[in-house]
Amino acid sequence: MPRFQPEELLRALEAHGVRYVIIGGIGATLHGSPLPTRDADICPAFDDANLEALAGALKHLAARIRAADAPTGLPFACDAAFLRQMKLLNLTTRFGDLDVAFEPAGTGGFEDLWARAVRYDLGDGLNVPVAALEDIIRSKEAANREKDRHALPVLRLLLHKRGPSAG
Amino acid sequence: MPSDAPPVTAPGDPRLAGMGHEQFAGEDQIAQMLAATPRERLQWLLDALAFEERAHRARPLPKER
Repeated sequence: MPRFQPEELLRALEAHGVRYVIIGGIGATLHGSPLPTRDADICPAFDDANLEALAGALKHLAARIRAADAPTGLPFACDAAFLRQMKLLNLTTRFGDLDVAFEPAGTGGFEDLWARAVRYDLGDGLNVPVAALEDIIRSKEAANREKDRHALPVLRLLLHKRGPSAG
Repeated sequence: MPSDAPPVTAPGDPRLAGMGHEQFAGEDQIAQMLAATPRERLQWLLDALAFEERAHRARPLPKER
């Protein structure tokens, strides 16, 4: 099983010049959520140049598609042409699991999320873009999976305590 | 499934059936954990906690205009 080092995942995306926004549990953690998470979720831009950059980063990360009956994951055609066909990819990488969603539930994709995204400084020169907490909540409300329903009361309370994003 | 399976090249590949659905999301990560040794599971937990600590120290940067 790979180590779980989201900061190294994000560093690879930054090093390859990928335009993306962090969503999901890691995004919520950066906003101050106390809830645990076990994968990194990102929403990348869908233009050709960015898909090329993303493919480069995923190759560097030795990404494979997660599958219940293949614990080490499935190989895939890691290029822009393949990525362009996908709306969602659940991946395992050498730094842990990475979910790539081009149109997260309840959002209009990268441009929609980027407009209100906040950059967080993780130290060691790593600055990463994170979707606004309101957008993470909106996406979880739309996805409405059991784990989202479990997380939502905590995230709404966090938003209430912290106040709205500056945008 | 062997690790040298042929690559997935299209979204219609039957091996992707259910990807993103709630049940699938749980199954693939449970399978990953079951395939790991107890030491690897503990290391995974320590990594997660270390990231959480680092993330909670992260500072928001002023928005670029």
